[in-house]
Amino acid sequence: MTVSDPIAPVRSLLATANQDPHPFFDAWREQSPLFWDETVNAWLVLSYDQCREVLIAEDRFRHPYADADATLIDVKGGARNITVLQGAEHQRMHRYIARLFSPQNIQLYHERHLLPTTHFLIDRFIERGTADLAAEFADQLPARVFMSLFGMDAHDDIFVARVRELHEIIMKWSGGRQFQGEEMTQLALAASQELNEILLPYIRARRDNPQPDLISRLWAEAPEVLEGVTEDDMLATCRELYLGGTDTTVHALCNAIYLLLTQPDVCRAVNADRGDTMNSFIEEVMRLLGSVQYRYRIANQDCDVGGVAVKRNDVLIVVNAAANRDPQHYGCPAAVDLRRPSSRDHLAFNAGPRSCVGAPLAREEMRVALGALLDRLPQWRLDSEREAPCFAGLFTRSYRPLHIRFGASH
Amino acid sequence: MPKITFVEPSGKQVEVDAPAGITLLQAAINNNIQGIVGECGGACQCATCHVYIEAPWTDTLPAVGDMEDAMLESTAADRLPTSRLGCEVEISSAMEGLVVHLPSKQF
Repeated sequence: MTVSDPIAPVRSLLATANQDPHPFFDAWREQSPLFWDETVNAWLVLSYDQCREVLIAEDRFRHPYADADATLIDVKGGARNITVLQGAEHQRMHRYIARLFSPQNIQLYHERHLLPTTHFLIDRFIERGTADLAAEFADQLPARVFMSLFGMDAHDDIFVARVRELHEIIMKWSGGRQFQGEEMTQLALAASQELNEILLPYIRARRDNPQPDLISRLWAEAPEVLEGVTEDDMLATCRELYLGGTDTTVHALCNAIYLLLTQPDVCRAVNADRGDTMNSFIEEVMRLLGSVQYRYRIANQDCDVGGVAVKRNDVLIVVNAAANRDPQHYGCPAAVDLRRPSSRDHLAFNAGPRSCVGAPLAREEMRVALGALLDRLPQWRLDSEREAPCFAGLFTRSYRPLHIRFGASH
Repeated sequence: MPKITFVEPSGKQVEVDAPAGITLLQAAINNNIQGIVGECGGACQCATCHVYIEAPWTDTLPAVGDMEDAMLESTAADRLPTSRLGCEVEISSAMEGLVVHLPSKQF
């Protein structure tokens, strides 16, 4: 690397915001599987094997919420929230939520919530011949699907926009509380309070008058999972489901649409086979571009990670986005390969006891959404006269805006 | 080291030497067996290491635990009396000749 190399001066994860981070990840990984980031005072874990090792060994590398303080619990909506829970209580909750998103339940959600919400959104711009698929579709779909699951009005634009805005604040804060300052913490606390005020009336109404929706189901079944479940516990559980369901899939959808619009061969192959090829494509989107880019862990003792000495209580930022392009694990790591063996072994949905419990719902949302776009927007293409997409973000990243034209081009 | 036979969804049989103490999931991954995922890394949290145990082993393996029983309700392929999660079956020297079938789908 020479002095004129643009990679060389960049020594922190923070400096990669709003640009393609992979040249930096690749350069750092070439030096070592772990890279000390002075700015954030943490190890960046960059190689596939070491990321997986750290994520799976929760007895050696604890989740930072094991040390949750009152501020964090307030922002997350309560202590008995799936991400804040630890040990046996976490395991029970994780298994329970996994069952809510079992293949059998996903099929029910597909018919009742995913298909109608997807077509409702496309119907709103189909006659226009143009759309921003980031703002008008990808940003909208996951939040509205979850509102539909919760028995809320999924067609209320102002309500959806506000909920999304509040969740974005909380996601941003979650991605780096320690380097974002007090002002951001206060914003996150205020967003959390507003979300509590939005959700509580629904939670109370469903307790008193159960309906065929997810909140009512949680009231009925949560006592089997959490001993002495309270209204606060229900709020905490719903808050995390709402957050996970609203924000993360937005980015995955944007990234999938971007790849389809910019790689015609891939788009043709996916269009021709909505089964195995579509499924492989979704896994490649998650591997290549993902949604959540990294997770935090803390070392419980002095240890060796990939030949690097890590001290007790050192913070590790497990950069799954970098692991997913580790050339030691993937051939042609920067390319979409629809025939990649073991296509689901990427770390985009995490691995280990805290693997993403909503991954089956995210995958199904992507299958439904991409299939509907391919069916209903013939000859879609990026609008070259509008702002081009940029890979924006840090904790989550996605290509946006996605201005397209569609319909007959002549 | 017991010999275990995995029968992949395609019908292909793969015999492996599996050290006692590791799980069926780990043995399958170590030997690149097709048809098993183990998305949660073997933490009994995802039901994507679903396997069917061939008779007569079904009744002789250690019983299904409560956690495993709960997750077996979420398998993509039908749960049968022979169903187990690969991450919850620890291989022992007594399992010489065990035959494990992989289901048609894990998700």
